[in-house]
Amino acid sequence: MTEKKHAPAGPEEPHESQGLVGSEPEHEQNEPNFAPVSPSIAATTVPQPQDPTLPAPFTTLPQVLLERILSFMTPRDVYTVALVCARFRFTGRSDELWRRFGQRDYRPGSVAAMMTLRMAPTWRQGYQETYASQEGFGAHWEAVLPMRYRPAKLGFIESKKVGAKAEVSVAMFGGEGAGKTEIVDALRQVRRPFVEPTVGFNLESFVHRQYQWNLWDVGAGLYDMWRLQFKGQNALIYVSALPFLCLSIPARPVGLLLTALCDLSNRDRWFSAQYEGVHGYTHSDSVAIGHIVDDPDCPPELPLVVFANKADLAPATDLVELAIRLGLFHIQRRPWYILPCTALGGAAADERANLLRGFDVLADFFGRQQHQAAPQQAPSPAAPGSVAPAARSPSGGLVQLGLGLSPYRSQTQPRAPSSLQHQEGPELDDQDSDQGLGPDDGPAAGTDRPSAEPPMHL
Amino acid sequence: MATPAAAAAAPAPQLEGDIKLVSEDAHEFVTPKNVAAQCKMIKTMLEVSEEQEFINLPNVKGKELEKVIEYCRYHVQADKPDSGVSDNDKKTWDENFVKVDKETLFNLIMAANYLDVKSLLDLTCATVANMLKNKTPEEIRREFNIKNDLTPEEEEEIKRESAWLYQ
Repeated sequence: MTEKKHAPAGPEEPHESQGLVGSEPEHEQNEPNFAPVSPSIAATTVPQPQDPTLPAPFTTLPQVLLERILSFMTPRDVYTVALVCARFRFTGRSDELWRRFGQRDYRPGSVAAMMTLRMAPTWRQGYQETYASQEGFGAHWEAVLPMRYRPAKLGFIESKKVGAKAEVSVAMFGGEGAGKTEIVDALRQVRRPFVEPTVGFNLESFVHRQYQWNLWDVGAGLYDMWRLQFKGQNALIYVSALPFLCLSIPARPVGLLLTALCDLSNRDRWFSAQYEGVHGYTHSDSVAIGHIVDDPDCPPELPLVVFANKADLAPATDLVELAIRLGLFHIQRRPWYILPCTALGGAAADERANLLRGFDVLADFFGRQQHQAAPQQAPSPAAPGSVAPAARSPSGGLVQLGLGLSPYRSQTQPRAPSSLQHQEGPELDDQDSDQGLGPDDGPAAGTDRPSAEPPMHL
Repeated sequence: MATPAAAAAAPAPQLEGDIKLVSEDAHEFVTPKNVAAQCKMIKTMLEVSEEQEFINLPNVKGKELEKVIEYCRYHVQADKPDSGVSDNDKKTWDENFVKVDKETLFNLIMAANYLDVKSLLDLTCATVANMLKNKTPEEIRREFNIKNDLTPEEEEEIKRESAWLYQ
């Protein structure tokens, strides 16, 4: 407390001296400025108007460099310095400066601090909110969460209704450049001229079927932090925000691996390289499906949808092979589903319809959870080899390989349209008639989008 | 040990020999190319054309250029893995290096920015930041000869904005 008391006294001093007490001495001291003064006197007197005879180093300093100097200080110092002159005040308000402060001072592992920083309209406000309500970054992270960012509890499907729509949170993970943000954009029918690598994460929502889907688009660089949340003491709180996991994977390697695509003889290497890239045990910043899927702290009943993105660039991709390479057949309990898609390029409406199929599967899954009281037993553990051939559609862009989803499909298929009709408004019906009929319509729906239709081989 | 040596030998041929750096006030400094290449800007110029004998630096005065070269020369030596210079020694050297008058220091900042020597830029900027720390605005104005052009309303606003830091 002592230093807190001490510091604000500083900024107030000059103000008082100008107003009351110091006004007379100032006038006296201003006069010697016109005559040459010795440096010792100049240091003690106050040259209030700028003295042209003395060097004024800051006047020649470019703005960028002044900002850089301030970025080495604490926010408290910056506010003190802002009282010096208008230029310092202006520089101290720079958003770039506060972005550096925010990124410098937040403690890795505190998702809440990152969230507050990201959600605020400016970095300065974000810093202030985080700092003021948390007694510094990282502490009491839950208390700082505004209500709207608070994660939903598991089991919300039965209990929580916001308006007419139940809220469902989906976390999207995926390697850098896999197209997570593009998928979210395609779902929201938004186009942006270019997509930068996501810093932190984006939270976007859209409405489909009877649910409001909150998509947590987690930047690839943030994955380590999320893993900390899985492992850490807040793990259950945080993981419960993710009713299911949704992985976005490029069906094509990005970057240098692109050349291998042309060479069919290198197919094995291409896939294994992609596998390594996606699993990324050597790269801390890439997302490891295995980490998430096998993580003991991650609830095993969360279903998993794999979007094999950039399907247009690799039309010959064998989804079964991809699923094998991704290790999906080794998953014991978690229901999963794989879907080729093209988030960028092609007709936006078609693509959205295609992407929504992945969400239809999930909506059906939750619809069944509502009807059956025991959701955990839904995914029946089965031998991978026996289920996969039966579950796979022979042709078409939509291939279902799910272990847990395949038995449920036959059970709930008649039930899904009825639950859909009584729960949602008529304006969504024609949207749903396209894709809402479920995975059985895979071949028929696949004819709508011939571009994304990979020839399947098994 | 064989692979690092081989890797170091590969780029070395380009940076052999000396290069003459000419400052704004026509001071000439002959420096080894590997020292001069610590400045990214000079490194880029060396990569573009290998045959040139001198480089004109119209934005840097001789005094600052000498300091920059001194800094680069020390760090080329000290940053070698087998130099035996501890991090503490380097830190002490850096601290002594920036014990100069304000004008030189600010010129060094601009020179480091122009020549693109990131570590020197950070060092000098942090030094200035340290000079500003723990001082009242009045002291800063006095020390750096700055005129107070803030209106009382603006000062009030800053104090109001910063209140959250002092709760």
